[in-house]
Amino acid sequence: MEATIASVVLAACVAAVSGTLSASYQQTAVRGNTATAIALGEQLMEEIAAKPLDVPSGTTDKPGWSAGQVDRRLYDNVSDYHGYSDYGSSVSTPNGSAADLSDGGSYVRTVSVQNNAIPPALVGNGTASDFVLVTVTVTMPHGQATSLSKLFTRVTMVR
Amino acid sequence: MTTHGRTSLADLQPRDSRAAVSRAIARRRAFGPRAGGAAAARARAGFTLMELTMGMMITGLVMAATAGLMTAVGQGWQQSESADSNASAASQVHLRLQRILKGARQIGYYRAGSISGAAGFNAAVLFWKDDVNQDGKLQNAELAVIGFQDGGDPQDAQTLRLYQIVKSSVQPDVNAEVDPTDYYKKLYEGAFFTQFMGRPDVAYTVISAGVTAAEFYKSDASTTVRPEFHYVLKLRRGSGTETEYGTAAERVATTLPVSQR
Repeated sequence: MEATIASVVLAACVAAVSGTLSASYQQTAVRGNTATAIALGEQLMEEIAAKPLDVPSGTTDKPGWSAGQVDRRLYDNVSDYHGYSDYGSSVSTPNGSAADLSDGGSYVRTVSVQNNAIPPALVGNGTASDFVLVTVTVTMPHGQATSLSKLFTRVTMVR
Repeated sequence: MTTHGRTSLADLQPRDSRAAVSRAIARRRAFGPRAGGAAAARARAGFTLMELTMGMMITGLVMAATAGLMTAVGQGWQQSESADSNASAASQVHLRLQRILKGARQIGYYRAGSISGAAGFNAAVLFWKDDVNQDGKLQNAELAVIGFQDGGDPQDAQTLRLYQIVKSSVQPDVNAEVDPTDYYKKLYEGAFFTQFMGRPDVAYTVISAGVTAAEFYKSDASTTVRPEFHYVLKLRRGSGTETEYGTAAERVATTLPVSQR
């Protein structure tokens, strides 16, 4: 009886300590995953930020992801990225090759482009179609997701 | 009074005979105070050899388990620290490159290099880092180069570097226009890149150490509003490497020269 009680107490202690350590390890892993996910998200967001809302006058708007174009090197405006998705293990680089940026885990990047995303404070004072909200979501190995959002506005830029 | 078969001297009554006292004294002298009975001796003794052995074995097992746990915790901490350090180092590389490249006015000549090391030359890019005097013209002091240095240079080998003309330069052409006839064209010439890197007043600062390979790309055209600069880096991580990919879009790009359209 005494031995049984001792065993139960010992097992409970071991389970408690193991649970704590496991949670600690998982937290560490998630932190590393988040850093990788943010880097992946920022890369794609910066790439989108380089694109205009409208293609320059005199040029033809090329199809985007929604129209079946999966090669994002051919995207020429922000809307082309709507619905875009890829895996961190095979991110295509500008020369067409794929780079494994997954750091051993499974990451999925997806893009959402929301048109007419005028901030509430500007409703009535601005044109809704001049605002586009882009959200890049990166799903991490343990199922968590992190999102980066950026609001783009329509401006005329001359180089 | 007799308790558990043992007789003490205090228990002896005056009416006991001298013989009884003598027997008790002799008994104590012969067998000591515990010689009253085997059962009592066992009841008052410590653990048996078997119990001690078992106890020591269990203690040993618990200690071994604890040691294993502590070792695992220690390794976990080390790995955690290493992971944090790696993530921090990678973030710093991105931040530094982004800060430098987003403010660039024009990205000129570049060598792609190779992430696999197959190119035979190191990745590098020459760019107009800023129009410091706001005159819209390109002066030598406004140029910079980001370049990867492999193991060829024993000093600061495997580093990503930023080359610039030092502020204390006494060269006469520091603030001279690169080419009065065409402000930007020279920026795209390989010969000018070599000439710039050969200047005696050019020095570098290390953007990141532990870079084992680098590959650069540029995306620009006459219809491009914001040129993109892409970089793929292999960073050393313990005994392996980790690939980092980043993009920087120029926020204040100047007009692309006719020769580059």
